[in-house]
Amino acid sequence: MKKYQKILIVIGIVIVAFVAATIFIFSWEGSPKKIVEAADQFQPPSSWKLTAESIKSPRLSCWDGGGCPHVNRGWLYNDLLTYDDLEARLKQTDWQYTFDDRCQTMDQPKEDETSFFCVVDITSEDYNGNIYIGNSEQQDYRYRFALFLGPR
Amino acid sequence: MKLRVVLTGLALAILALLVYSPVSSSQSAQCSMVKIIFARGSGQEPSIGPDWGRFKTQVDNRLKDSRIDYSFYELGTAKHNGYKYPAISIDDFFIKLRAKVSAGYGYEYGESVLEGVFELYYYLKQERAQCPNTQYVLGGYSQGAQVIGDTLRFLPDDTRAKIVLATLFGDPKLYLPEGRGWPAPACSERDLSSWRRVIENCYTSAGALEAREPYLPDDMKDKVGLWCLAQDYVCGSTNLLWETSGHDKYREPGSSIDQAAQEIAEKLKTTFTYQSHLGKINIAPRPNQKPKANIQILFVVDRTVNMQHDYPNYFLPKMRKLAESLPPDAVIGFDYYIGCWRKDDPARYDWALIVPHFLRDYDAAEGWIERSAIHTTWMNNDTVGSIAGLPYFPIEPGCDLSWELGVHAWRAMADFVQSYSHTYLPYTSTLWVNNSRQRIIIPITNTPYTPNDTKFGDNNGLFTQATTSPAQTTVIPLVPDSIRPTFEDLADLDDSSQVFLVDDDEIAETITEQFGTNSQVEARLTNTDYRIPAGTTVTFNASPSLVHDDTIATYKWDFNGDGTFDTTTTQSSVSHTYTSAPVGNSMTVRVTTTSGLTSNASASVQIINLADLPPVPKTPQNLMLQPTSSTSVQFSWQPSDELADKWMIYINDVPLGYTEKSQTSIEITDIRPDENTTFGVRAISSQYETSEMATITLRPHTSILSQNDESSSSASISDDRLSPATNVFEAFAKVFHTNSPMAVAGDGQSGFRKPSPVLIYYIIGGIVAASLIFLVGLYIHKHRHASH
Repeated sequence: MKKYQKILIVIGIVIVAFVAATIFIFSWEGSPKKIVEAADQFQPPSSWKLTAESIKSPRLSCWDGGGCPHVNRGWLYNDLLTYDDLEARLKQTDWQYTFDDRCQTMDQPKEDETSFFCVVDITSEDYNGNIYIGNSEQQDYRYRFALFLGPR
Repeated sequence: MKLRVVLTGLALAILALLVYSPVSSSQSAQCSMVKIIFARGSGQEPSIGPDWGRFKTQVDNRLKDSRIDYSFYELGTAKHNGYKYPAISIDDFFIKLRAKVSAGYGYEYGESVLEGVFELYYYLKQERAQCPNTQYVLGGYSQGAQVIGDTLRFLPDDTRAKIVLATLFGDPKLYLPEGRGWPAPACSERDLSSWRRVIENCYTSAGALEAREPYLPDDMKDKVGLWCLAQDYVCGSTNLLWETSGHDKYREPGSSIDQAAQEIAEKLKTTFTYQSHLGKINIAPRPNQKPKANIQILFVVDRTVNMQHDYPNYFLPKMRKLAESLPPDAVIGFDYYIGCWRKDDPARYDWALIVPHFLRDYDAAEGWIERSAIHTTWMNNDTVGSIAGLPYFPIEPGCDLSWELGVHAWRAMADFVQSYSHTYLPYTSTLWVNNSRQRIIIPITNTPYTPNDTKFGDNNGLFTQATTSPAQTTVIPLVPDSIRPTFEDLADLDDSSQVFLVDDDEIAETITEQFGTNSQVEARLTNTDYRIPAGTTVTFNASPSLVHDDTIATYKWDFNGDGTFDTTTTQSSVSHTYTSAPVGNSMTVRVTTTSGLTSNASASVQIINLADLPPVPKTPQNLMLQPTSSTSVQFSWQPSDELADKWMIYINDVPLGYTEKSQTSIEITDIRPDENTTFGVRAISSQYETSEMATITLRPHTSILSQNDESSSSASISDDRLSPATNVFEAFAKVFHTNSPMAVAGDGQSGFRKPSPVLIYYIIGGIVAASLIFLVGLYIHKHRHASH
């Protein structure tokens, strides 16, 4: 009987450990401080309105879109952001960035343009990301600026 | 649990029916030819998500220069009939757990999906009413992929017919039956699903939230592309909970989203060219549209091991600089070629892959190439062609690139030009875009050229094979100065080709000088895809051809695809009767200007046999509604012929499920007596041909049950068999929850279903609980024993 008791105890401990590990993997969450600091390097003009923000902490089991950790921010604004303005703001970060071809004409955006009129690829020491700039779908604002920073 | 799920569906279904109101059918001036719809992943914000951004940008890159008028919509950016897809986050432990145990159809996650399904359903319904000619492209990532997949199965037939392509990335409801078993058929490239695109683990068979079976309606199986990258627990490419890094890779340059964008662009271009033949779309050239120069430049990149260092560090920067030096409109597209060559057997072409039309998106092309290398071991002749709809080469099974590189490195794999000749050129004529007037091949290698291989003989003639198409071919090697002279021998090989040996920095200038011209012509046909019975007379029309600073003098026509022009006209259209299919199922027209410029365009011509098409059952007749209570009716109908094998039942255009052939009536309960309710039935043959739908409407406050013989064009196929008495809301909920473990039991004919993971959770939980009780009991027992 004692022999079986020991076996059952071992099985019980293994199962408890397995369940605990599963719960730990599913629920562990680190601090997003580092990636938030990285994203904070981009400082938008004070007139911009932050309308959407998604901050994900590092996780062991990350099911959400965009990966973990990530920072995704969206601003709406009215005053035209020129190529030079954007580059000046990006120079204040320690990111490496690449403008795509369409950014060359972002100073003359078309009002009825449904596509993005500038896309920027971002790379930093620990993260990759993008900037997407296009017309806003909302009436009160003319433009939308989206910044994403996520895992490399 | 079951109650919870049913109630969720019930609540939303009630809400749907309460809020639902028919949309006016007035035409809108804002209708676009194509609407591209995307559903984002869990926890992503609408409008700013990176996967949506990549999808939109990549599709846009490939369509913006076309004449296709398109627009985008992202689910969750507006309400439709009260529904707005929230794409809730699933990273919370309990939300994740509840999503898992309900197979993605219950609790918060299931409600989020259902909200998305309803939004898409009503959005499409509204769009279809306002813009009946608009076609649709769908894209979904993660939770969004589930939303798209779940919606497809109950969309009306005529709406599904308007969907050109649906692309799904990291679908938690993934289903690939070929990934089951050991060894899985997918690992030997057998029984592959038509929706399979890049699936990095051949044992992938079911997503993290269980497979949706059947995964797609029959009529969508060839119109859906599915991607599941390695280390993505969500779509089931791994069973390890913590391996989710792959779920974040779909938007990487050259990865799944880019490949899907390429497939979307190609499908749309084919679709709209074809439809122009039917007179639905006017693709006449826009005013002042300038033709492209029709110079096609192909970089043939040596990716053998001795280039591993030189390619990224030396050649790639040069290649980019060269491309950027060329006039933007001088190039149709940059195609990349990669190949590995087995030197010991010239008959084996090993594998080769073209990455077309990436234009100047080098990163995407590079990413594609890298990924392709990873997939090599899983490809064979049958499958590579299905990847992203790209043109394909035969692949020699067993040509594992890593193996090739490893083994042949010490053999000085060496002769790149021969490699490329042996692998690439025999296939050139079938792959190359035929409307280029000038082809320029730029081999990129650090290996000297050797014209006469001792084992294979000389390479003479290989270039001839590349030039069976009328376009000229020019070779300009981009090679180190030290080995460039070895390519002089290449110039002597073939009179039909020319070779320029110039410094790297002079290649762009040479191309511009030799081939640049203000006069440009681009041949185009109104239709490039014909599927016709034998004996049909086809009128080809090349009037959309573009010309700049010149005029078109002649049109030469090669109807039977044998490379010889059968007739020459000065008119842009000509008729030809086909009694048999042309060689390669392709015909060609060559346009020649007064100054001698030429350009070719081709059309696919396939001969089909109408007799092979299965018969379509007739619309059911004599529809009747017999009240059985204040909220129930008996709905009955009669067959119009013997072809019906099943009856598909609809309430207000929403398919509820089917009855068997012999069951021609059904009791439907819990209908709302104060609203119009339309009952529909459609006959489905054993070959899944469907009749038009017959409908009958129950109107409020009247006992008269009216027969409405107007046929509707909506339809759908579901595998949900209805019981003789059916609660309308439960049936409606069942449409969404068929594959939930808590769903209404199946009919027993759908075959063995694997045990649900939910059961495993319950079993583990039970064992844990029992173990804990046992341990506590044991402790108490021992403690008491000791105290005694």
